[in-house]
Amino acid sequence: MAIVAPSNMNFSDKNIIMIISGLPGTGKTTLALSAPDVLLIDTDEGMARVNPAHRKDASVCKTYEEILADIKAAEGHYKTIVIDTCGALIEYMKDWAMRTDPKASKANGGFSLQGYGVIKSEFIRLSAELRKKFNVIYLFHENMTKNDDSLFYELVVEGSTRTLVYQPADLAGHLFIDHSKRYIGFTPTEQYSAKSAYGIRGIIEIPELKDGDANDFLTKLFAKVRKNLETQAQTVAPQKSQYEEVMASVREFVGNIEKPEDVIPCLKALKGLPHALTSEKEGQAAVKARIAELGIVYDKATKTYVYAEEK
Amino acid sequence: MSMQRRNKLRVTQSLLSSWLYVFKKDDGYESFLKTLNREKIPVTQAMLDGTRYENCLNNILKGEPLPMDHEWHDPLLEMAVELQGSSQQVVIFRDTVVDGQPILLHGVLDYLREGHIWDCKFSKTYHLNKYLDSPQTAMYLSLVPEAFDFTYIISDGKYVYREKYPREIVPPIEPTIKLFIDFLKKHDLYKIFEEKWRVNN
Repeated sequence: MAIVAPSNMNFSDKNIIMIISGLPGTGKTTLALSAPDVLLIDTDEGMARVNPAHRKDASVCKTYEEILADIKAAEGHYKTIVIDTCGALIEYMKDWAMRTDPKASKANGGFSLQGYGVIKSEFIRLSAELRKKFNVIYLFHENMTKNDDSLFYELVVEGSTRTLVYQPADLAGHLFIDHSKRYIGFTPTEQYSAKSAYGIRGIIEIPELKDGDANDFLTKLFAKVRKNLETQAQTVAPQKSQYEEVMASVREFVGNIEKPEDVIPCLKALKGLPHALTSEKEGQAAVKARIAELGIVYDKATKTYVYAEEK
Repeated sequence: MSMQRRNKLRVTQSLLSSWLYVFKKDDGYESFLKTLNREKIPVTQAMLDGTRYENCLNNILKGEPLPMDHEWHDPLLEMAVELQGSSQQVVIFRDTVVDGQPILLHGVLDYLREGHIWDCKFSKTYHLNKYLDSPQTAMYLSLVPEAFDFTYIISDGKYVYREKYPREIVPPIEPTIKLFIDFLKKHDLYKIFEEKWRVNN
């Protein structure tokens, strides 16, 4: 085990899980290939649509087991795995679940409800496993659906897994084209799902790739995430350490409350502490919980704390 | 009692959520009138399930063992690990002024620790970004100006989902309260608000 203080934390090798979603033709695969040292798991023939100048290594598989084997072989050779598309990956997983887990098949041969449980668990396992060794980019096609008068861009993936695939992601961006320019939105809106974190938010324009330009948008974005994490950790570190100290005093003061007369001195002592982050509010909550536990209440008439039965 | 305190009106996230349902549900207006009049809302099975789930979680956080065969074992364990050491049921008030009207923001945070707020939800019909337009996010981040973010931590009984809102993407609550007050005035409901939600009530 290695205990590291926030001020010494190093995020330079933090792996990032990201979702990129967009309508067909918005350039999801090309954008994903701008991440560092990519291996593309091409379940959607996405590479064929990429400008040859920006193509990277790709794995073309027929089964989920082959995908896992290629990912295993990629360890140490690539920094980023792109799953193109995640909707197709789920289909591969369904096929794998039906072949390997009897629960996944209905008697009539269809995919069972329990089968979705199997692929949900496998998706969570795969994401956790991948994150240990790679950045991971899950690509999703989107559909436009009409909800009352407004449009919503929905991920193309089995309904019940749609919610789950978002969970391991650090970032999720909706890719769209407006007046011939490409943008990616990281703040969720009523029109699309997205996920903002580590200071990456709002809508960011993706520069047009001209001949000879390096395709490195995500390489730069991931570097920015790591830089933001480091800055954030350094800024918050002194507050966190002060918070820990204050909370130790809070626990001591609150633990000393045994009878009604102890409450006001404790509150005064809490007020005098050099509070940090949310320690003051947590201290007040701790006093409240402690006096409730002891059956102590505030008597407005005498402005003192008394046992409830005495009031 | 000062004049300002007498005129101060309480606003909770439940009140604002109930108002926003006016625009979403057919019976939203009737339901909102009940909330505005502080009438008791009938308890539904979903509310009972939510309370039972949260009680189980809080008991585990207080040190009670989690039986291996508990119907919600996996999600309860996952949440308990994340929420360990947090303060529970933290009651918070904060003064603000909207359109010249003194307002007392009032909320109860499910969990608070080290600058992070969590709200526990139990929803069998959870879907992505379910809480995107919930006024609770902006309300609670306004109540705790020193918090970095607000996370809805949700279980459907099998899995745990999270919707995390960093402060920088959440607008302040005051513009929503302004729209709420404008709505009340337009529909001749402001007097009920003044009467039922005055701070000394």
